[in-house]
Amino acid sequence: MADGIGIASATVDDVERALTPAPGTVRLRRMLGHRGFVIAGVVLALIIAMALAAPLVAAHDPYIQDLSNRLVPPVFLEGGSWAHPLGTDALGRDYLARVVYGARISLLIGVLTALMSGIIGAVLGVSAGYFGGRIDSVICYILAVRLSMPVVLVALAVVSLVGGSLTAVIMVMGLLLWDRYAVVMRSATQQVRALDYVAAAAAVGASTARIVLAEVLPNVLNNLIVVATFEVAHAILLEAALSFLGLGVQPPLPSWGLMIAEGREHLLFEPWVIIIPGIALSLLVLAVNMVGDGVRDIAAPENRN
Amino acid sequence: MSALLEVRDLVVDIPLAAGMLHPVRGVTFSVERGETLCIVGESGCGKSLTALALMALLPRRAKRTAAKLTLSDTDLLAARDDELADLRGSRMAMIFQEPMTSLNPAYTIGNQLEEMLLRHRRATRAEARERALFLLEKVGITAAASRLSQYPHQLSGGLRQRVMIAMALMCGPDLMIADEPTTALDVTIQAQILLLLGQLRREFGMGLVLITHDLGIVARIADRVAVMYAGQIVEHGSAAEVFREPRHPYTRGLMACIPVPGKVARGSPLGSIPGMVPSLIGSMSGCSFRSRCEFRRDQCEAEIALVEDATGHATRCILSVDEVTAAT
Amino acid sequence: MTALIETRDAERTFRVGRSLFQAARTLKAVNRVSLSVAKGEILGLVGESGCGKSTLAKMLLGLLEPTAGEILFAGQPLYSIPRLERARRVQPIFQDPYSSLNPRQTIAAIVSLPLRVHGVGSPTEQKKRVAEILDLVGLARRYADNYPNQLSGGQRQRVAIARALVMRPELVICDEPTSALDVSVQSQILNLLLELRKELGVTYILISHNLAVVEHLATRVAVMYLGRIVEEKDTESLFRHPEHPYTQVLLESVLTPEPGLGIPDSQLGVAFPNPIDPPSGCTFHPRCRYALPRCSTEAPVPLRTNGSLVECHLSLERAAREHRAAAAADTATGAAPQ
Repeated sequence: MADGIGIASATVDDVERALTPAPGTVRLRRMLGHRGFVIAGVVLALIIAMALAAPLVAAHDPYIQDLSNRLVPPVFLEGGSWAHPLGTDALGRDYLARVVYGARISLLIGVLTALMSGIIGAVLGVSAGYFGGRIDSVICYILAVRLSMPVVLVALAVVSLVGGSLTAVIMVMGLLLWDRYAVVMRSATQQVRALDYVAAAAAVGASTARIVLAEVLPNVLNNLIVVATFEVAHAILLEAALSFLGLGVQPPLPSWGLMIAEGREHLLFEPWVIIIPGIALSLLVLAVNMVGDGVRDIAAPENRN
Repeated sequence: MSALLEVRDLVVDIPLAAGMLHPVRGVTFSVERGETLCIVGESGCGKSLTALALMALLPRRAKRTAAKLTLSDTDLLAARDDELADLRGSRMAMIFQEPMTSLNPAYTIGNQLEEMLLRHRRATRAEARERALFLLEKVGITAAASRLSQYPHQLSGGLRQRVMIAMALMCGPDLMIADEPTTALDVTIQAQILLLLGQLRREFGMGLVLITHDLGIVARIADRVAVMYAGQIVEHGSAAEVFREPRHPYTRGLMACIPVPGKVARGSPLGSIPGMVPSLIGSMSGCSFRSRCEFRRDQCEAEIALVEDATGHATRCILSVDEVTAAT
Repeated sequence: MTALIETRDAERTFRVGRSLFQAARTLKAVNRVSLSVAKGEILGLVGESGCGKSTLAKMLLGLLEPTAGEILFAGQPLYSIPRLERARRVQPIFQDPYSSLNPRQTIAAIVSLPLRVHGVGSPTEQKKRVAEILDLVGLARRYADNYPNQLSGGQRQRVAIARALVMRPELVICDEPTSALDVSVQSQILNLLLELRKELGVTYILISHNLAVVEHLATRVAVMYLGRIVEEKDTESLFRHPEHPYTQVLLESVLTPEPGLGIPDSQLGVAFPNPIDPPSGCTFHPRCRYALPRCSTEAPVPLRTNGSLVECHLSLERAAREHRAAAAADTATGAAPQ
């Protein structure tokens, strides 16, 4: 009986069509009407602005140690001062500066990883979905192999081979985290490929490259963007975990995961050492995920039904 | 004796971002036992929403009002949600255009048929099974016993529609509403399904409301016809009358659009209705067809009533019968 | 009269159902079809869903190569004509104007795609040709910058027709061009197709399950059943004297708007057979009301008589009887003077 609603809304759509704006206008309007997206977008924009303007936000250098000022509590706790608004860590480094510069690392890793794995996954997924047949089988096999490799163990192996570094973390994650892109892009491409406008372009004599780039890609790009936002969050969390385990970013770089790892010993008496980078990490990941949710709602392709 | 289904001034309103949509604007009709009423019109005319409104299956944001809505002596307007749920399937049943979406792919045909009876009637599983078998044979499904254990995806489109009809008949409903039941099917299957619907209606003494856009179907199966345009019934009467002498300019236009062998020379241009359906959002006044009508006059700006003549043939138009027939 | 497009025993098989536990089976979607369409004709291709008419359409479009047999376009093998040239001369119009237009492109971009692919003219010239073709299909030029979701079904179908005709193709293959449209819009599109034929001299192959539409438009009609053409004739005689029992059933099933005639009982009974596992002999015999014993064992050969074709044992027997009678009459008249 559920399709009763479908029939009804189709009728409504018919009458509404005369007033339908262009797809771009629709998207902008939906974007501004989506409360979660707007709030998360503002939070994310603030974090990005903070990371970009890090030297202006933080008065101190995140690497300069001051062993006479170790574990100074933040300003809102007893014994804190405005000199170090978020206190200092066990080596006397300014915590605010480390959190702000840490945002740079998290965002850098999130974006670069998503970019690398996004390109790999999109190319594989679109090829598999568009060409099908043997190419699809081969790509699905590669995907199955990739899914059988645990990211943490691969990272462990790489770190023990080439040593931990920012580049190593980005390379490992960028080369491994393309699975979800490939799966989503493959099925989205399969759907679009079966539509008549792709057949029409082929019948017009358009080359395969033109069909893929001009007809298929623009119609599956929404899915890519949605996956990419979630994968940015995924990469940020994974980096924190790897760094926490010592397999990721190496000291003295200010990574939030590393900061949590370094603060472990002080958990009992100075819990803020862990709580501050923890909150920063959660806030960023939450904002990115909420933006991803919003993008998914907003980018729902106009003519899916 | 009162009619099986009586609908008076049925209105459906749906609030949209752009304003209030009025897809059904004061529809009145009745259906007797054993009678077939066809509601015909093009997409967006409100015929499907009228059907959903009768079944109380409208989307949640839609508002339904009516002066009267009764099924024999049950007042459907006053009925609570759970009472309506009991009525649906037992005394009034509906079949849709695409049977696949109305059948649950996870259950066997037999299971879904039996469930229908067990839910609404006091019956044992064995009785339900017996009735399911009886009805599957009735709707012309061969090897019915083996079909009971099959899943919807194992059946062809025509068979699935037959199963839907059998399911609708499980509780012996008084009223069957069929919304474009054959549009997705091939012509040969379409004829079979319509033949079957006609037979079952006679045999079980049901009232049948058939919603379609196909004038061919209407001509062949309807006792009475209601032509809908922009949420209103613009012409209403016995099928024989309406096809013999269509009176509303829209009905006439619609009939001129279809190629009829022998009536329209091959390859000659077909009739067409210029213009588009008016927007049903916001307030409306006057004849909704006037912007596309060749007979348009000043009086068309005013609200026009559905006027019935002695034979029961009603038209929502200011033109007299002679004026219309003389003009074309 | 030379054929514009001709198929000779064209066949297309698909391998289906291959899985870990099951060997692939072959499905003959199109089974040795020989068709010929002359310039200026409108060939109607009718049959139920699954009869192979859409596969045949794809083969004629150059999108699906035949697995056996050949297809000739203006005397040349279709699949040896370079892709671009083929695309310029043969164009499709699809059924569903909601999926045949790219939702991310403007109407102007959709209609000018063929011009861009073929590198015809400068952008300003392309713009001019788009405007001209929009005029020709009766769509206001102001829609050029709109997106498909802002247009009604009928308007979208006009866009699809404009895209198909902008390169002035010789053959247009229309796959159910109006079955997704409302009745009043359908008549406008059919009128447009007829008008364009007069204006541009295109040849149409019209695939439809709506026999009233086919009767109105087509000059010749071919009836398909399970991958075979079972009857092919000029429209007039096919609708007046349908010979194949399947054609008869199809014609009887058409519901013309004539009240009082009731619903015809086609007595087809058994459901459409599984094309993977077609019945032996004449594939129609399980549903045929005139089936003879030999129909289940022996496939009938096509019977061609002055431009028409029918594939049925009944017709073959009737032809044989007539032949014998004629021969007998011949010997009788021949014997008399001596």
